Amino acid sequence: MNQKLTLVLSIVAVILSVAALAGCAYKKVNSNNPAVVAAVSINSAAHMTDALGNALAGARQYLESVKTTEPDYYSKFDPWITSIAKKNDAAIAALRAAEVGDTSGSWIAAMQAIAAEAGKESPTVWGFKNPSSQTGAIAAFAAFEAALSTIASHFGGKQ
Amino acid sequence: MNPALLAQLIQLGTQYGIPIVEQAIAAMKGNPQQQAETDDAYIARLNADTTSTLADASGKDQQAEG
Repeated sequence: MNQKLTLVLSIVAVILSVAALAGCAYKKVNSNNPAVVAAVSINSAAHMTDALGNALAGARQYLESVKTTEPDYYSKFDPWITSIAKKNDAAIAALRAAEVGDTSGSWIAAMQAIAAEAGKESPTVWGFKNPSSQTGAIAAFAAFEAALSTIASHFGGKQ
Repeated sequence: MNPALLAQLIQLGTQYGIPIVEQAIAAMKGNPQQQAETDDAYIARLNADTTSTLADASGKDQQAEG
């Protein structure tokens, strides 16, 4: 896939993810019913995992597009993206458990783990061989960073 | 409730039917969604959305894992 197309796809991913984040922004309710508060919290976290899923898919497309032109970059960030996707899946599993009655709150720790893992790397800061690669990286990871920022601000686990 | 506002709501109710008055009162109380339906119905709707959202998110993670 050429880099121009990748950039366009990345921008589309950014728009979709930002729209998803805007739509899911942590819902506020005027209820003291713990069941309502729990359902709203879990629903908001679910939307955050979905927004991050969009962003991760966009980041993956970008990484694959520079696999041959920026091989060192690919080698460095491919395992990291995979790790975050797995942590997102772990959060999804914990949220599913919470939906069916798990009251341990393990989903909160799972959300924090995503932000903690994300904080280990800075994917837009790199000695790119091709300047356009950095432009693509900034576009590709914008949605990703927005999603992680939302997760970190609501659940901690500073990114 | 402000009497003038109440009068307006009653007039609206007469003109358009009672449901619009109920919705307006619910909106004034804040969180119209929740006021307009029971907690149980609201939770059920949230849970349905959560289930489909998580399924969607999981599929995207599989793509991201490459």
